[in-house]
Amino acid sequence: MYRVGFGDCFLVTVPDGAKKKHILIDCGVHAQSKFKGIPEAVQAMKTETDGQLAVVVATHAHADHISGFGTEAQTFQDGFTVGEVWMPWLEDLSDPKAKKLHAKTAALADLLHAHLAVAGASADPVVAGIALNALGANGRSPVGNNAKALELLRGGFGDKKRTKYLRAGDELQDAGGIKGLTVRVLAPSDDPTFLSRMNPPEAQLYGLDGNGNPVLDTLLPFAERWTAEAGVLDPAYQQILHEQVAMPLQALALSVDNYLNNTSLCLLLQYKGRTLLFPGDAQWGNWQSWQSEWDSILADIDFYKVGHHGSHNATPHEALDKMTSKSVAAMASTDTVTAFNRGKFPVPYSKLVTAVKKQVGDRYAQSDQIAKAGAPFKPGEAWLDYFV
Amino acid sequence: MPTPAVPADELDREHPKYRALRVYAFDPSRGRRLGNYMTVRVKYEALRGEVKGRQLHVIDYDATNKRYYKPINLNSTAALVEGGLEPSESDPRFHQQMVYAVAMQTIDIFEKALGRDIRYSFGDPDGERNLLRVFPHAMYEPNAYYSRELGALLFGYFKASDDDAGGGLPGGTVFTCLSHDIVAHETTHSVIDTLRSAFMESSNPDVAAFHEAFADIVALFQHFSFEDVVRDTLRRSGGILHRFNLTPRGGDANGSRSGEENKIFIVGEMPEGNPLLDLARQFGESMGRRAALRSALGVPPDPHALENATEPHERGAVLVAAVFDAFFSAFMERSADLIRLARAAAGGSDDIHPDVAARLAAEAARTAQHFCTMCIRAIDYCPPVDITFGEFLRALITADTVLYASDAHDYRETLIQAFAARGIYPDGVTSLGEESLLWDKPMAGTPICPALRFNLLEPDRHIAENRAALEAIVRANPFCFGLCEDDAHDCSTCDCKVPEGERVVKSVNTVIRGGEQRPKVEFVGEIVRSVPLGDDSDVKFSGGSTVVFDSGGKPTMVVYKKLSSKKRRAAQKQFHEVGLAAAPTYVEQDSRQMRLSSIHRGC
Repeated sequence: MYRVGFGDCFLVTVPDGAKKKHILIDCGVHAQSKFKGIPEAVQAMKTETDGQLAVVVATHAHADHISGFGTEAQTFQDGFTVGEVWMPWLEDLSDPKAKKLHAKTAALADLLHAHLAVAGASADPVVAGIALNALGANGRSPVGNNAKALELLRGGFGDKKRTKYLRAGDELQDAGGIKGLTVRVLAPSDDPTFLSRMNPPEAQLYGLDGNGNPVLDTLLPFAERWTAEAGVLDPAYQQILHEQVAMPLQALALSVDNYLNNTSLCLLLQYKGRTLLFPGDAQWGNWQSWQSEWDSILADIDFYKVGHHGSHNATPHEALDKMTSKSVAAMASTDTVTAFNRGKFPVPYSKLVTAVKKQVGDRYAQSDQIAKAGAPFKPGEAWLDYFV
Repeated sequence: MPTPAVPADELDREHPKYRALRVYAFDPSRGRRLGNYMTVRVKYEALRGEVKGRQLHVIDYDATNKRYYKPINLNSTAALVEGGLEPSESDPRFHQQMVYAVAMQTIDIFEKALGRDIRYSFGDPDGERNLLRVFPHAMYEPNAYYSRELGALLFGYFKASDDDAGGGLPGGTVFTCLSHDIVAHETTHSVIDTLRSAFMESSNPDVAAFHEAFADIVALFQHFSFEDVVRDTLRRSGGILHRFNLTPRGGDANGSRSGEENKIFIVGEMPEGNPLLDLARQFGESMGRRAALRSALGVPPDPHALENATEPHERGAVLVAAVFDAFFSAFMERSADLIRLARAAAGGSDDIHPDVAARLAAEAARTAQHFCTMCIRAIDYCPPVDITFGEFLRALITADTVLYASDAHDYRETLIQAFAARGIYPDGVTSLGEESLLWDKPMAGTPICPALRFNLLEPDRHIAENRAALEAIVRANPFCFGLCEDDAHDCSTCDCKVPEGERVVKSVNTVIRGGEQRPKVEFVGEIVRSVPLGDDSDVKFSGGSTVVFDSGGKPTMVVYKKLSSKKRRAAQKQFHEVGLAAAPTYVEQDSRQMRLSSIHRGC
């Protein structure tokens, strides 16, 4: 686990004979993270791997999981050789179902920007943070980080054929050319029930035109001549009214956020009797889609990458209760984002952290507290090692 | 013979009785059809410049776009003479006019039924009398709600679905404030909150559902006062008011044809839904759901309907259906003779004579008004907290029995049957007979409250004194009013005290019993105290009682929601645990006060 701030960057190293093979799972940081360590992490990774990555996984298209592929695109292109790229099938734009959902979500994310532009300085910080994460630091600009990162990932680092889009049920033997490594894809499913739950809200209800483009004028219900100069509300009351009216926008923002989180690739890595679970930022809908397999899978896992930086809504408590193996360890990659705390969504969520610690004992580590990590972990300059 | 002098004030009346205002009977999507352009008569009140009356203040501020829209002057000569502006979607001033008219009418329905003024207090009975602010264009959102915090009704606007907007304009702007039903529904929420503020505490699955159901009931009953619409519907349904589909005008031309010939060629032949049963059709259709938001009837009676319904609107729909089931049954019963005569005259056809339709329409309006009044009066007799549908039935029966000793039209019997058919039974009664459904006699030792007063000429005069008088009696005898906290206590051993500074008597309302008996005054006290639920959250557990006193202050009937009830406390805890269990991840516990905004969102 590299310490990148509020984001994910995990390197899984498998001893393949005398050589070591490396799998990179995500490389990104939230634009509002207090600590930002992507350049250092990528440099350290280059040394560690000698620029050889058997697989690059992008669990989902949030900035805090892929921004590094945009900001460090040059380093990745010049300094690394990549064997395969794995992405969730919902990012496969040649799939009509995925394309439709993708377009809808992109339109909603754009719409959030339109609302933020109208709101100006009084914009809700949570909404702003979520919109930023969905689009990347440069927002709607076509050269924004997420767009650039996705271009690199979809393009398979120079060869489109390297990119594989995975869906629930896929099982890769000798995955990524690593002998003996089995990877089971647990999510995202292409089951219609799951997809209907994933379906983002109807965009036009919040002010988009027929093509899904936000049109600022459409937020105005009347011709300009009906606007009055002044009114009767006192400023304090007006302020409460604005806050209350911002709440649904927060709901819209959260629905975009939830949608992207639920596109997360959920991977089970199995190698020589060891099992590692990487759920990305999966939230309830994603977990639920493979709930029937929880019993058979979770009791045996040796490593759990804590979902969504330890937020309140990405680790079902029933699932956590089922991770009963004596050797199970957990790592959370997280940092402070002031806006989330102010918006009453503190991450990591203390009750979850307590519950995880109860389950795994001292085999729990958090990227923002590397020095505090217990004996099973080995700290480095910008990372923390764990030997499974 | 000298002409008798006309009293001067009759000739030179300063105040008119009504203000005529034009509104949509339903919403803009119906255009001018079916008497949709309607003029209502709103009780007159002086409005100074802006639309600011005794209860409402219409403020056209848009918090999404941060701007005001130009206000209407309802005192202009044109407005006074012509009934305000013509219905228009593009002129915000008409929206202000309509929202004022419909909200005032709804408040008026409550005031007439209760025989007293509605005084907004927003959860604080001690507060100064407040104005309800009404924002016709509060925000860009497909939603409308009552906010106690803001003391306001907020109506949103949004663009209709592009793919499937039903009868509306795809992508056109939909204004929730132009839906008669939505305005009546939200106004009702605000009034209920004023009458029973503890009904915002979602302590069992029925409480939020009751709020929603009641708002729908009041909105739907208003439909039956739209004379032209009701007459037209009756003519096209053969007098069967609750029929879902209406016969096309000019008869069912295709009825006798078959197969290939039985095709629809023109819009006039398309089957049309019964507008009286629909609730907020434009809103529902604009969301792409091809139907009205909700309906008065929905599904056929099913005694198990409540078992799996947990979502407030879904559960509330069962109560709405029960009330309207009773109403339609009563209407059929009352007008069966007229319908038989009409059908005989029409040779068995559905197309009944306009004169009969007019008679039936008057009958429908009267019955609807009676049922709506019954429901509203029942609120005074509801428990002060933690209401269930079964208790609402008991309150209905009690309130109506007090007023009309005999059930001449079998309304009460019809209601009892309709509720039973949909699985709504009160707890702890031995039979569904009327007398077993009346509230119980007070426990032995309940003191009288001789200081209660009423002045017919000044109904507001004794409000504060009555409340203070009952407060003193209740504090001295907490046990008799359901405020004892320990179920091991009895009347003689209870030493529970109401803490200083906490007010437990929320209201004492005066009810004038009339009907077929000699008019008599009654007082209904609403007594509530809240303590922590005790599940390490900030959730409250509330209890108390509703007590009916006769004109001498002697308690005659009571409904307890005892603060000592272990059963109720455990049930509420379990309800909240289930609520939390349904959210599968580590959700923050919030206070269990309902947020109507989120219940309504995307509804």
